[in-house]
Amino acid sequence: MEKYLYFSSTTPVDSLNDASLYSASKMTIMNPASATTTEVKFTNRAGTAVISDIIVLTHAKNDHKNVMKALASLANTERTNAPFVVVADVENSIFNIDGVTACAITSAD
Amino acid sequence: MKTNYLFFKQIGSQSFIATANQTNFTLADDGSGNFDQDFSDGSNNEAHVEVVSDGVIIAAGARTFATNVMTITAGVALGKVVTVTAVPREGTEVAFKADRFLGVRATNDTTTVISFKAGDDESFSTTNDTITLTHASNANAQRLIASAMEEAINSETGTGFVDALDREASTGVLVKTGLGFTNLQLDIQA
Repeated sequence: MEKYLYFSSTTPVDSLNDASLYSASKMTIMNPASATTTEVKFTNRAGTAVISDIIVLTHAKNDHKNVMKALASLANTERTNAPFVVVADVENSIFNIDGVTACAITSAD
Repeated sequence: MKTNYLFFKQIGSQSFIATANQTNFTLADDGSGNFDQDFSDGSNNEAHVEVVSDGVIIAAGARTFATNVMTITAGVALGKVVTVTAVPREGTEVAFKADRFLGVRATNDTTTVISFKAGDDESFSTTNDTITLTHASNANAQRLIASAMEEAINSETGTGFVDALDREASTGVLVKTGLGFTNLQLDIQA
């Protein structure tokens, strides 16, 4: 079953890019953006070829590998039959990756 | 639909014990020992390392670089430990989605390139993401790497996260090839 990854970046969620949901199969790559952030790229919803939607997760210093591992696990989780997987929900203060404390969303459209 | 994510990471840390008022520190870069980063490349300048002396961070403005020689302007007292560490950024480590793997190609007997469809590209119209590995010369090097990549892509894990080659930790499926990797360069499209 396909998993869907949910992110919210602020509270309240009332503006463009404050929240987003992506199909896990559209998560193409994860890499550091800085010592304390990891960016996660998704095939963008706009359908353009060369620009991704990007989620930036803020976490403990140099903890990128653990964050990537946890996110891969959430994308592939079989521990729940629920296809809706919350990764980082700032609005409800839910972070399902240890050490992640913030989330930012950049959409291509 | 389970898909593995393949993790690659450069090596990037070096420590020194200072001589009396030592100012110049030569970093073993570009796969020559401690760093895969090439400090002769302007994009790998001092903003991309953290320097700690005796537990205190030395600000970027208090040091300079000339190729792989770092100069700490004020000098460091005898016996103090200076540690230089790469700051993570795009190009220092990455997790690729396995089903975006394109192939493995030999460049020469000691260099192999692994390609993935660019993470920001749904067409094949732009340059791909690549990992360039430097390794020992071995008649079967490319075959060993190709076989290890196949194993990584298709491995059954609980998490879907596969350590392909972590040069910092000396772990990963590729380590088992015994090829003695000495450099890992990541070229990630923006």
